[in-house]
Amino acid sequence: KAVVSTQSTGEQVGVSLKEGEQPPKTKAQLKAERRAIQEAQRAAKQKLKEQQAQGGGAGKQKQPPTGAKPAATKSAAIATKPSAKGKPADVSKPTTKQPDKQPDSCGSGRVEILSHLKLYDRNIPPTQALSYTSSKIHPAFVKLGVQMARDIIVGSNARCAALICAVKTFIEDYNCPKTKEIRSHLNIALKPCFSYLAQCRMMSVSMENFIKHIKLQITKTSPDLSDNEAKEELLFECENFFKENIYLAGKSISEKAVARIVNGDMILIYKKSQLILHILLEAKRQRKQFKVMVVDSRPDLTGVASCERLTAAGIPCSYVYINSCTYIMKKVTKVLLASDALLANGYVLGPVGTAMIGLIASNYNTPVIVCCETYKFSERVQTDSILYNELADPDSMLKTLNADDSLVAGWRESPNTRLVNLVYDTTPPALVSIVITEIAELPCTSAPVVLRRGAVKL
Amino acid sequence: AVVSTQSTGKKISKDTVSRLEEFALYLRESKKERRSYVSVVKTVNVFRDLICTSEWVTARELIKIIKSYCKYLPLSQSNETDVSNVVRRILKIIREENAGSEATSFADGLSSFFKSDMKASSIGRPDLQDNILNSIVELLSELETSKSNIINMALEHIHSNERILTFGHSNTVRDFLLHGRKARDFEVIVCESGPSLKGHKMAAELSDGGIKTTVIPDSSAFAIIHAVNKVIIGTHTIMADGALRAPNGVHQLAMAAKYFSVPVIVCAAVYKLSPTHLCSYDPDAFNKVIGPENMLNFSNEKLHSKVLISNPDFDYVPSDFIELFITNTGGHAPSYLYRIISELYHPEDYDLDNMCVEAVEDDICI
Repeated sequence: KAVVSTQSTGEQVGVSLKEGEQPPKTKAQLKAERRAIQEAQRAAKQKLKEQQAQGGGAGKQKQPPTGAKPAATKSAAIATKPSAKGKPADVSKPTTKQPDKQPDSCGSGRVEILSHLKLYDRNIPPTQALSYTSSKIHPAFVKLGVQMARDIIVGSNARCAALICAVKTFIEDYNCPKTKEIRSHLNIALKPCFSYLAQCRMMSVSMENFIKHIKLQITKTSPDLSDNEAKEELLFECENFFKENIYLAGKSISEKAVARIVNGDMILIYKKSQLILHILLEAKRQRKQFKVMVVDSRPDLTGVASCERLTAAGIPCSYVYINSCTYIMKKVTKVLLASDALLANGYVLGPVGTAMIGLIASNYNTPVIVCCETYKFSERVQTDSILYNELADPDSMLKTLNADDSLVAGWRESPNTRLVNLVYDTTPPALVSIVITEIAELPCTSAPVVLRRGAVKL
Repeated sequence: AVVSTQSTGKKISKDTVSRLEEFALYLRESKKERRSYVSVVKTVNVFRDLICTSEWVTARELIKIIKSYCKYLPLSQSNETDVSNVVRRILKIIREENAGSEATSFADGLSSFFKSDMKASSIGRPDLQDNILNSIVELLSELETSKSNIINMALEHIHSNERILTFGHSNTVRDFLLHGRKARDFEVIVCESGPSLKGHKMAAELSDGGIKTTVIPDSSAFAIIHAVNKVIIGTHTIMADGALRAPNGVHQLAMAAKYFSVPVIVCAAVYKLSPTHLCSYDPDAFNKVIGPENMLNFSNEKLHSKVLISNPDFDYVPSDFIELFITNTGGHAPSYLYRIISELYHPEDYDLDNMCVEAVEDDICI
């Protein structure tokens, strides 16, 4: 018997059949069947939306680009870090019809070797899936997410510091329900905020390490303390994390690094880093005579800002693109690089292009000094730059400084053209001479020792 | 610039003079987008003209005329190596035809070192001129077929499902890859080659030809090169030891390729092979520094006035980074190029300013 019924309307559009006979379907029956399918889809969508509101935007509609749905599933699974275990699994294939054609911000065609990376999709406002009333995400985090997605806050230290502020605000405003304990419930309350942040932009290692730390601190709060006391303790933990790991660590690193700068040096730096600029300005304050070679690269060209800061302080600068690195490298005496993380097998994760500079410097026997705070050390191990990476806006590669358009400006229409804009790359330890951290100056390969030391301390 | 006839004492017709001046102007002006092949063919035609219309009796005089004309061309600048190479080919042709039946090659033993190939030969001007012009016609056809010879080797060097990395824009490499696409399916990753962004043009042309192309900024080359099968690049000039004068950024790409043991293949016609070596890294001697307007906007005047901005055009790539040269005479290892140079050019022509043709009076050449 073939009976078609709908879930919501409960209509029965039934046709009783004889065995193995297909009745001719009337127009009305076909119409009713179609309506039934639509109702089913609408119900599913409704369910999805409810789950989204609970999961705090974790099920945000990742619009599936043509022909890349399986990849979107994978990327959806990978992209939510780290606290998104409760996320519903059926996110990526919405069964509804596609709404009016949204501009395919991911572009046609994906590069196969990079298909495990989440495509750049920040054209969709991250707050789209959030509703005002039932959202579990604190407004401080909403704001932070948008700032990160729009590249208003960039840089590993800055992003971590901003996260610390947001968490502090959250804790201040947090009221533990009477029946729950703060040490178990606060983590649950923070989870949707963190997963929302992860969707706005992939979290940096610095942010991940802070989150790990604060979650541990929350679970360790003594149950004897009152709520307010516990909150104060946690606020102190946050501030302390910032003070020790970012502020004081930066000072300590710059002391050690400045001691290595001698008069007459030509120091090469890459793009813009808050820590490196701090070191150079400190060296200038100590009246050292040196020059700086700023190496920059497309598409974001942040080295220009570095140049501006340095010339404002009176340090003589030169400026080149990374293509010309071999041309100028023989004049350089030291290379000073910042990093986003130090991996447990000694690889340095930094802005893309760092590895190239390390390679050229080691070919010309120029010492490569990497500065990294210990809180950025990560337990992850990897040997190449592609496995853990982030894709940035491909359209920023089309910007040209002269008035002409780039010749691949129409790349989305062309089925054969793809643009890839990576954010990170990993430098092998053989290319790095020394890593300066606040506790010691180490070779790259000592990273696991520091990690273990940190774990033992806790 | 008027072509002076004082050094040779012979007259050159007005027509020829105007054509020579036009050619000198062409070289001076169209520096940026000049296509190697086009200028090389022009060069041959201009010099063929010069050979036909100028007054000379012996080969020695003809060589003097040609070399004195070369003084008026901006050949000492780094850009013009293809023109100088072709002039050297023509000079070699003249010497060979002059040596005629008593053709001496260096393989004939030590005595051939001491025989001058400039002794007055029995061939008179009309015959000599005919022979020379015939050889020049062969040279022209070799130049014409140089590109097709290179691209026909594409299928020997590209297998299917390969990932090939290339840098910036090169006509030879583009046609090489498009020819390979006809039979094999592969993917190409193009480095942008900023600040000129020539890589974008290459990517557009390749994807129009049906090849899946990915454009990456130059800084990502190291990150992605381990996943690439080979690097195929073009070059501006090949130096005598197998090193390259290539667009800026190729040296670091070759370094990264060597680090990951990815072979680097250079596609270039043999008229780009120059018998010169690197004498200095200075912009005047080897490199060329161009304006920084593509790097930093002139509107940012406080930086432009305070910061030293360098935008070199070329890069020196030592020969140990190169695996193979694909030229119109076939594929060669960098260590073999010296042999090709000795076949193509005569040692006395390596330095085109060298007018020591007069010194070769006797049989002993020192």
